[in-house]
Amino acid sequence: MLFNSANFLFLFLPAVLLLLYVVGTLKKQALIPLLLFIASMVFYYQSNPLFVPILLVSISINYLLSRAIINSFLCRRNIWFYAALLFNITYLAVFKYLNIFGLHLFSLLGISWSPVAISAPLGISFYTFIQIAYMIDIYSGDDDEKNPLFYALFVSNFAYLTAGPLVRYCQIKETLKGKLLGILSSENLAKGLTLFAVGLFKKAVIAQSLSEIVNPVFSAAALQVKLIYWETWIAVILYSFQIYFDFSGYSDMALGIGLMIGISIPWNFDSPYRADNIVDFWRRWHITLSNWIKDYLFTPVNYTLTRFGLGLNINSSIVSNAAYYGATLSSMFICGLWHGASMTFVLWGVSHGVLISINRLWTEFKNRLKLHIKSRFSCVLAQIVTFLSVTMTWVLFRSDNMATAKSIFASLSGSNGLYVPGRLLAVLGPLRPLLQKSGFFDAGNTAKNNVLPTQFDTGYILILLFISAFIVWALPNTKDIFEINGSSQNARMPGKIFGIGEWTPSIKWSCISAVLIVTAVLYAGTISEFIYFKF
Amino acid sequence: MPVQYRSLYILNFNMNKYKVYIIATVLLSVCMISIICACTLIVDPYGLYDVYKKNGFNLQKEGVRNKIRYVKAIEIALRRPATVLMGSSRVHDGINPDHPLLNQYPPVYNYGIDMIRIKEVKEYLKHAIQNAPIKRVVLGIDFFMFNAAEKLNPAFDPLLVGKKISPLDYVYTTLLTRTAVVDSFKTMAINRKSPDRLEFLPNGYRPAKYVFYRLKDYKKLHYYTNWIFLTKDPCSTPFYGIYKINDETFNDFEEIISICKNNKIDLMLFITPAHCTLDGEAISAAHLSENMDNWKRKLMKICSDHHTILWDFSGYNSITTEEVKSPMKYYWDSSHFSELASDYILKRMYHISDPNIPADFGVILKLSNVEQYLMETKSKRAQYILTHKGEINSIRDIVKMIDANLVFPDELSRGIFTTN
Repeated sequence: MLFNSANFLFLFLPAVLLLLYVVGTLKKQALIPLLLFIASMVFYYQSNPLFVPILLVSISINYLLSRAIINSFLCRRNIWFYAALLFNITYLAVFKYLNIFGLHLFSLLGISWSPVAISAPLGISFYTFIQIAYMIDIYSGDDDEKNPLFYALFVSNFAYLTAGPLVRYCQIKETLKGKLLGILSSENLAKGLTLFAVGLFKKAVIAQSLSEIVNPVFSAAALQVKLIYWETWIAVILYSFQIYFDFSGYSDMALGIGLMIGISIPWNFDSPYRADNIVDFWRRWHITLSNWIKDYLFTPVNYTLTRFGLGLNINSSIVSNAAYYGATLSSMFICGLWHGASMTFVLWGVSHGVLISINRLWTEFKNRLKLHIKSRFSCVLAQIVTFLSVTMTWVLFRSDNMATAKSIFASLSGSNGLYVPGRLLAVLGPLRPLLQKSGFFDAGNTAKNNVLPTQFDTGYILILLFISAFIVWALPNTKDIFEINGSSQNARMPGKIFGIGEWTPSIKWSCISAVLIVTAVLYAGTISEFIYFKF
Repeated sequence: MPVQYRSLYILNFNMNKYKVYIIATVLLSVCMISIICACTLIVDPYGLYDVYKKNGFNLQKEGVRNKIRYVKAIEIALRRPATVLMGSSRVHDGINPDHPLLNQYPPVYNYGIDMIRIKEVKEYLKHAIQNAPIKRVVLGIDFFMFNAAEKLNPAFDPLLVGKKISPLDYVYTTLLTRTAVVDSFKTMAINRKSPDRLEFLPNGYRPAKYVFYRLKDYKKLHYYTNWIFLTKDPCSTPFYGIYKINDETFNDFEEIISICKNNKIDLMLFITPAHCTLDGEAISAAHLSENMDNWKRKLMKICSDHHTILWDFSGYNSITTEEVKSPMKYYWDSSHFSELASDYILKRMYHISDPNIPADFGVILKLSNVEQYLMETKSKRAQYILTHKGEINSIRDIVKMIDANLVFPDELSRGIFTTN
C-alpha cells in the first residue's frame, strides 16, 4: 500500500487513527502497540501477502538472536553476534541479490540456472539494515528490547517499514514504550496532519508533474533514440528535482504519520541541494542511511585500515588518507549496491565515493594554501557545483541500464549536436536570430527527435523548473517550519513563507493544509510509486 | 513556539487550538472534496454513473478518449457482462455489442482496446474473469498484436489490471482526480461543440462512424494509416516498420485459450479483415509476408491442438480487396472495417446464411486446408497487384519516404475530414 493510494488515504490511515482514538478514550492504552503492529501487518500484507511471513521470520529470528546476545558472555556472545550479522546479510542477499548474482555466477561457471520466481520483498533493505544496526548497538552495550511485541513494532512500523527512515532503537524507544501515549496528543496530530499534507503535496503534485516530463526522455534513451541536447539537460535537472520532492515528500509523510500515531521518527531530509559540498550533501540527504553507513561501515573500515596501515610502519598521514579513501569508496560501493543489484547503482555509489574523495583532496589543498574564502559568491558557486555533480550521478541512478546512461551522457555532452528546438528558440527573444545564424546549434547530424510530450509547452516546463528551484533554494524546508524535537531552534532559514510565518494552529494554516490536501488528493489518483520503494 | 495547551489523548473534546485546527482542516478538506465529487459525478466524463444526462452537456463521454484501458478495466467491473468482444480498435470500433447474434449471453460488452498486444489481451481477459461472470469471449486477432518489439502497450497499467476493482478505487479515480476534473471540462466543451457525436457508448462500443466523424477522403486516410503501420520511428507504436518475432507471444495466445477452457468460457476466434493494402501489401513491403504466413500456421496449430475454431477473414477476398475510394462500403481506413463488414463476420461465425456475404469471405483454418489456403492467397495477391497499380504505388511511395527518413507530408494530412 502506498501512502498516496486511495486505500491508504481514505481507509487505512483514518481507520488506524479512529481506532487509536477509541482505544485512547476507553483507556486501554496497553492495546496501542498491538493495534499498531496489526495495522503494520495489514499495511504490508496489501503490497504482497507473501512478504508478510518473510518479514515475520526475519523479526522472529533476529529477536531470538538479540536475546541470545544479551544473555550470553564473552566468546558465546561474539558467536551469537556474528551469527546475527551473517543471518541478516544472507537473508538480504537471498531475497534481493540471489537472482542477479546467481545468474552472473552460474553463467561464469557455464552452468544453466533459472532465476527463482520471487521478487525482493518490499522494504527488505530497510528492515534488514534496521536490525543489523540494532544487533551492533546491543552488542556494543546499548539498551535492548525485551518485549517481542515492542521489538516487532520497532522493526515493522508502517510509518517507515517500506521506505525508511532507517530508525534506530535508541531514537524511538521512548515513544515506542512508556511515553507513547503522552505523545498521542492533539498538538502532534495537528502537526502530523500538516506535515503529511505537505509531503503528499510534494510527492503527488510536484514530483509527479516532474516525472511526466522526465520519464519520456529516459524511456527514449532506453530505446537508444538520439536525444536533443537541451531536452536531455532539462530532463536530467528536472529528475534531480523529482527525486528531491519524491523523497522529501515521502520523508515528510513518514514523519507526519509517525506524529499522528505517536511515534517520533528522526528527520531524514534537510534541504540537501543547499549543501555546499558533497559531504554536506550526505549529511542532509537520506540522513538516517548516511548515518548508518558512517557508523556501521565507514568508521569500522576506516579504523581497521588505519590499524592495518600503522601496523606496517607506514607514515601515519599516508595511512590516514589511504584509509579514508579506502573506507569511503568501499562504503559508497555498498551504499550503491544497497540501492539495487545493478551496475548503474554500483557506479552511482562509487561515483559518490569518488566525489567525497575529491572533496577531501580539495579541502586539504585549501588548508595547505590557507585558502579560507567565505564569500556569498563562493558559497553559491559551491552549491551549484555540488548540485550539478549530484545531478550527474542521478543519471546513473535513474537509468535502467548502462546503455541508457551512456545515451543520456552522450546527449548531455553535446555529442548528438547542440540543436536548439524551435519551441525553446521561441522563448529566447532577442537571442533567437543570433542562435539561428550561428549554425553551430543546428549542424546537419544533430538529433532532432523531440521526445518531450507535445502537451507540455516550453513555458510550462520552465515554470515547473522555476517553481522547483524556488522551493528548493528559497523557501524554508519542513524541518525549519515545524517545531518537532526542537528542530526549528536550529533552523538554517527563518520559517517564513510569503509572510505566513512558521506553522501555528491557525485558520490560515488550516486553509493552506486543506488546499494542499485536496490538490494532492486530486493528483494522487494517478498512482505512482515512491522512488525509494524499490530499495 | 510555546505549547499553551496539551491534552493527553487525541480527542477528549477539551477544545484547544490544536483541536480547532484539526477540525477546521478536516472540514475544509471534506467540503472541497465533496464539491469536486458532486461536479464530476454530474458531468460523469467516463460515462460510469449515468446520474444526469443532457444532450449538448455530457452525452459524449470525452474522458474516455485517452483512457480506454483505464475506463474499460473499471467498466468491466461495473457492467459485469457475460459476453465480451475483445481485440484491438478494429473490434472496438467495428463490432456492435447490440448485434442480435451476440445476445445469447447478455449483457454484451465491447472490451476492445486500441493498439492492444496479445499479452495485454491475456491480462485483460484475466481481469474480466475476476470482475465479471464471463461466459463467452469473441476475440479478434491482428498480426500486429504479436509484435514482440512492444510486448505491452505503454498505456497498460499493471496496477489497475489483474485485480478485483474495489468501489473505492473506481470512485476515487473517476471522480476525484485531476484528470477527472480536466476531463469533465473537456466533456462539457466537446458536447457544446459537437452535440450529435456520440463516440463512447456505455456498452463499450465506439461506433466507427463517430471515430471517423466527417471523413471525406478515404484514400488519404488509407495512405496515412499505412504510413503509421510502416513507420520505423522508434518513438511511435511499433507495427510493421519495426516487427520482432518471439515465441512468448504465441505462449500468451495459447494461455488465452487455456484460460477460457479452464473457466468454461466459449471462445470464438477470428483473424480480423484489415484491407489488403495493409495486411497484404504493407506486410509485403515490410518483408513480413513469410512471417505472416507462419503466424497463421502457428495460430492454426495451437487452435487445432486445443480443439478451438479459428476463422480467418484477412487476406485477399471480395471484402478486403474493396476499391479504395470515397466513400467505401466495408472500410473506413485500411485497418478499420465497417459495421456491415462486422455483421458479415458475425453471420459467418454463427453460420447464418446471407446471400449478400461473398462466399470467399472467411475461412476456418485447419491442418487440412491451411497450405492450400495460403497458396490461394498468394495467387490472389498476384492478381491484385496486376489490377491495382495505384494502391501498389502508394505503398511503394510510403516505403521510399520512410527509408529516406522523411516526415509525413503535410499536404496529405489536409482535407481528410471536413472541417464543418
